[in-house]
Amino acid sequence: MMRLGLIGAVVLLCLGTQCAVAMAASSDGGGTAELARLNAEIIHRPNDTALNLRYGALAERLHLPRLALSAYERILSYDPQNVAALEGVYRVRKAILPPTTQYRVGVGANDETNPTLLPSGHTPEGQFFGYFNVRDERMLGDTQWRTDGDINGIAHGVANTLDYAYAGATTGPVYEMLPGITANPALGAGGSYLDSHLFYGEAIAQTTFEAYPNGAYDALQIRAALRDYDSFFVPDNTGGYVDATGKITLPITIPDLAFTVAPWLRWAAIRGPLGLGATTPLIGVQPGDYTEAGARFDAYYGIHDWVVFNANISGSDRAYREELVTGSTTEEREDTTISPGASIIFPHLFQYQNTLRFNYTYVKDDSNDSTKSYVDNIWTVTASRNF
Amino acid sequence: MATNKLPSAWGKIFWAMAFLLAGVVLCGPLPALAQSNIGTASVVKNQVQGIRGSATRSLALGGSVFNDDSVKTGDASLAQLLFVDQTTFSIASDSEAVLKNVYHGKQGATQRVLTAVAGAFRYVSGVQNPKNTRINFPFGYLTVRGTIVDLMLWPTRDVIVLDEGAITVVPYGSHVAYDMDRPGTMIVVYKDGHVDGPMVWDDTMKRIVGVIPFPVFGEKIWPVFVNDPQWEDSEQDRVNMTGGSSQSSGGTFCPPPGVIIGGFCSP
Repeated sequence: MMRLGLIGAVVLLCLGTQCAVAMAASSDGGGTAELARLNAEIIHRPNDTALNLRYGALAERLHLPRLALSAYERILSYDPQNVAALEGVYRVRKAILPPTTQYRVGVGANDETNPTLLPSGHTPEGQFFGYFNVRDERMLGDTQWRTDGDINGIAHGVANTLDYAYAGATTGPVYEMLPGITANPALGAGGSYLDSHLFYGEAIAQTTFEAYPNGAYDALQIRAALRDYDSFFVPDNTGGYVDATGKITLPITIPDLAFTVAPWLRWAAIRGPLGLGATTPLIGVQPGDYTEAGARFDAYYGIHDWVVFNANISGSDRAYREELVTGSTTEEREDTTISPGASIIFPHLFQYQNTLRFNYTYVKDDSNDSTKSYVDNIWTVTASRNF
Repeated sequence: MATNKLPSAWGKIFWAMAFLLAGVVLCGPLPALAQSNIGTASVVKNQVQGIRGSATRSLALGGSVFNDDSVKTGDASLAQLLFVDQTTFSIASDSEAVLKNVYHGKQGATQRVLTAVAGAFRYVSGVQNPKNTRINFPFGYLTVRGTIVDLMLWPTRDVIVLDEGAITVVPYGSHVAYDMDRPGTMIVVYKDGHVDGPMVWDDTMKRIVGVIPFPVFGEKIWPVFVNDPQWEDSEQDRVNMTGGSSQSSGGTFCPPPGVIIGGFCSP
């Protein structure tokens, strides 16, 4: 009798425990129990796509995105093109995307042989520069939102009429166009300062497409801007430009080695202060009426955990409209620029996310207008910190 | 008399066995039994080995992993281990981890101890009490509270990135506990116990196997290969993304005109 009582107590206890679990599960309509059941099945059939998708969908419905992430990644491990899993991963990453604001600050110095880009008679000089960038990324309702801001400036040791500063920002949503491909349309504005005067103000509209085929980073940015120069420099001074810039990671998987190529195409109609624009490399998009095509190739080699070597070369061709070669009445100016360079980068110097970088760049501009050709050599050291 | 007692003794044994069986069936496996097969290889890509003592076996998809197993991945390889409580532990290429369930008799609980030896990992906690998990790494350990956490190990430092939930990180060198509850932050632990952070992770390192990045949000900037040097080159980006000067912020990296997308200086 006692034995039967004991057994009965054990059975009741265990059944009670099971019931408590069952009751807890029933509070979400049995979803938790179903999730556990699906997990038990996945243990036996981990590459059953339908099963993993059911598990992922249920986990998302139960507000357990982390469990869904694992299920979708399981599918992508053997079927990397699975559309439902790619969409699921993107959805889950968006759901767990932490709001972050990242700051970058940097200072540096240049030693430049030809800061005014003259064919001859130039004066070498030292320059100091600094920048402060911020990127904020967060969810606004159901929409991922990205904001970039930038302040930067440079002071020249000799050619101080070229002292320059810029402040600007862009902001816009990030959408998934196709699984693994995002688009970030953004609007922005900025203003710059040159030689102790307001230089220009600009309004920017751009869309950046980003993709990660097999983990590599590819991007295309299409941008249009209207720019209005201060009347101090020239009177009739409004213009604009449109450009497209690509960023392609080459699919070469050599250990410690990475390659990128970045082509660009630009159409500019910025009458602006042509003289200034032609004699300083400072203005990101230089004034002038021209069409330009170019590309930059970068190779990075991780020599060690704490030092990376970079070699790069860029080339461009710029065909001007309505700017004639000096002494000619018909021939329009055309410049070809070749610019090889190399860098040594020391990441995580003294503290994580600190970087020290030494760089050399040689610039050779061949213009059909001999009064515009130039050669320049630039040595740079930059210290930066992300936080 | 003896013949009368014998059925009674067998009867006791019978009831004792029945009692035990009922307990096992209704209440689940005893901790000692659970120590053998502790999880399943739910992802096996390329070379994944299970090492037990001196015996090495190729881990197959759906194959069991056992207490005290080491799991080692080769080049371009990936493993995901799935546990009954729905926890997953993903192991990137060229990585190694040791799995252990430790039964604490006093508390009557089994603690899962995952030891990350080298490489990159992602831990996603399941539905069990996450406090029963400890993750060791070369220069410290962490405990979790409902978490997605990524670990990236280098010879000189361990980087812990919190993607979701909360963790407590304790360096062996200092035994100071760092509570992290802001997803998107990271901490870097060094051998002597000093740390950098917690701070916002700058996305500049990752390891990618197939289409799966480590850490979860590690795809914003750059694919990094075997030794994952930080390909930090992004100070130019924001300058040019906003249409400003490329040269003014160390513009020698970016001959004008310049536009940067996603982490590198482009033309």
